[in-house]
Amino acid sequence: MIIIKKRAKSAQNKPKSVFFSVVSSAIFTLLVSFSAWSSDLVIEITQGVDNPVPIAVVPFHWSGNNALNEDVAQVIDADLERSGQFKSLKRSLMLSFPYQEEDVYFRDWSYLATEYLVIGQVLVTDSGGYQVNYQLFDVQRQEVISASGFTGGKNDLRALAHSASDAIYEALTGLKGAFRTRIAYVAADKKVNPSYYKLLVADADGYNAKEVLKSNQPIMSPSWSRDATKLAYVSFETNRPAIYVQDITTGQRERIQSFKGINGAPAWSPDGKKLAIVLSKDGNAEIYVLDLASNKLTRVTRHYGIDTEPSWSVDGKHILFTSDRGGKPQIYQVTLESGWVERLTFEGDYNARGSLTYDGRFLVLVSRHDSQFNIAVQDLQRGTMSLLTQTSLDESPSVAPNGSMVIYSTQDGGRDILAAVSIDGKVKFKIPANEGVVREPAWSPYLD
Amino acid sequence: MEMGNLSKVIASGVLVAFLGACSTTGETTDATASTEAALVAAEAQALAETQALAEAEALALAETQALAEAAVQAQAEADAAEAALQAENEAAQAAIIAQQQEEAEAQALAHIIYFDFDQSTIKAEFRAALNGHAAYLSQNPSANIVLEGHADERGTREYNIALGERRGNAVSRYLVVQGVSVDAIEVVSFGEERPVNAGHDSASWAENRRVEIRYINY
Repeated sequence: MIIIKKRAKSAQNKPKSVFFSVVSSAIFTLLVSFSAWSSDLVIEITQGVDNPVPIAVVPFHWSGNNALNEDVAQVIDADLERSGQFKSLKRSLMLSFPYQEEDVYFRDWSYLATEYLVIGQVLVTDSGGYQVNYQLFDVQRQEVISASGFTGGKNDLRALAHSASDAIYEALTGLKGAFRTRIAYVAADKKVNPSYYKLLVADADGYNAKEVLKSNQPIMSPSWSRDATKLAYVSFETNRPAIYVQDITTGQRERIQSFKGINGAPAWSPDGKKLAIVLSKDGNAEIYVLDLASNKLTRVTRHYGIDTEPSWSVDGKHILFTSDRGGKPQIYQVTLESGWVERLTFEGDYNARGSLTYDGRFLVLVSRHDSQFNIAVQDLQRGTMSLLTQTSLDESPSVAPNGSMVIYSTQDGGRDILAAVSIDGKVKFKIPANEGVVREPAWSPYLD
Repeated sequence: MEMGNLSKVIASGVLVAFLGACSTTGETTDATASTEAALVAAEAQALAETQALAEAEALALAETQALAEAAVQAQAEADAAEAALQAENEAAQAAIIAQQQEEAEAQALAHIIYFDFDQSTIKAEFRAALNGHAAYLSQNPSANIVLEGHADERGTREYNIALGERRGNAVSRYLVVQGVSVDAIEVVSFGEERPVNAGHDSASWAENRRVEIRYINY
């Protein structure tokens, strides 16, 4: 068995950019309550692939005196099911609960029509944390495909289970799993008094939702730093929009220099050193690039039309943006070095908020067809656009770091909810909020 | 004439007889005389006192009259001052009322300008209201406004922020053309983030596509 030990993520204390204006601690205390826990999101799978692969995840062995807080096998099970590509065997149908290779009777699992089998155990580490070990078997071939172990602190059991899911998913699909990732989103409730806007961060499966910011004024456009430790977002807490950058581990936040008019749509560059932002200080909405170390602001677009919603190409040399310079909003791409602008979308009269998958192959966007706003994907190699959703007010698509799924916001029963769809449109699930409305999901990069 | 002499004689006789009678009671005559003197003195004193009193009264009256006159004078002066003050107050009041009326007129103007989908063109029906705001802002250089631009929920959020600002700018330009100082206007776009109607239909969307004119100072 191969044991790959991974250290749990610790708070990183990076030197603070001197060009940020540090928000006073009073405002900080008033608005930020990072430790506050919020109700978790509940995921409902609404559509999977036609022939999902049957897999069995046996309850993980635990020899401790007290029951564990988390059922590791169940977390892995749910992760794999949520991908839409697997169908889990119910525990009640299992004939045995092996946790070591020598106790596995492949004939039994074969009899239950299981193609793959996962067994494992949870151990306590010397430092009082946990170690989660798993083994993945091909039942037909009766051999181990993948085996690994992950260690973390005593509060990391779910995270360790997600790491196991990522490894299992990768062994089976060739694509790194994105289960141990996070989702930032905005929640609002105008029906309660006082009404509120919140910025939250939850695990990709909706658990461990934590409040990053609460305000009585709108919060918008959360964007992850590439190391997944910080969020840039727009807050109207001063009755005017301003862009903030907040460390989600320490809760510390800074307001970047703000100007009269729009301060919006922050997007981190792939190298994490710059933010593409939208400012209207020079007359109307234009794209700028802010170098975070030097505080140098470079204007990227020059047009009397609206230029907004910047996102970076994989190599950081181009910025995609929405512009109505042609009369209606369409996606354009500007080459930073030359300033050369080219239009990327031509189908339909409303294409906006484009972003690329991490491999740069697909452009994910919001597209209007027949008065409906849907999530669409354009294959940049073939040039074809296809709609991923069929509901009516879908927006804010955000792609998982492995490019497998797109999370977005939509409406369900008159409320904003989060939903996800696979990049091929075959798998769908929705994530209703327990209270208020949720929107503007931003899928984090890999955490490690 | 003879009768006259006779009368004298008779009168003298009566007087003598009277005197004779008096001389028969000599002590009594003395006492009566002193009483008469006292009476006279008392009468004189009383008279003096009465006179003094009258004089005092007269003096008091004079004093009272003087006081009254002074009071009247003071009152007149006070009245005059008050009248002046009142006039001032009235003038100030009139100015305040005039200002309030102007403010009220400005307030009575439509404060919300509505737009068509994905449009920032100011429709003809809102020009009168905007002209009114422009007139008020031009006449009151200390007044300033925020134009809050809003969009309906359709379309993407950041694009709607830009659209809300475009609407705010359209209203701003209209007011500036009418003579309002550009410094009196600030445009802030809230995009689709602060709808007035949470509904998801055409009527709700129409209410949400708007610019709100908010006075910071009148």
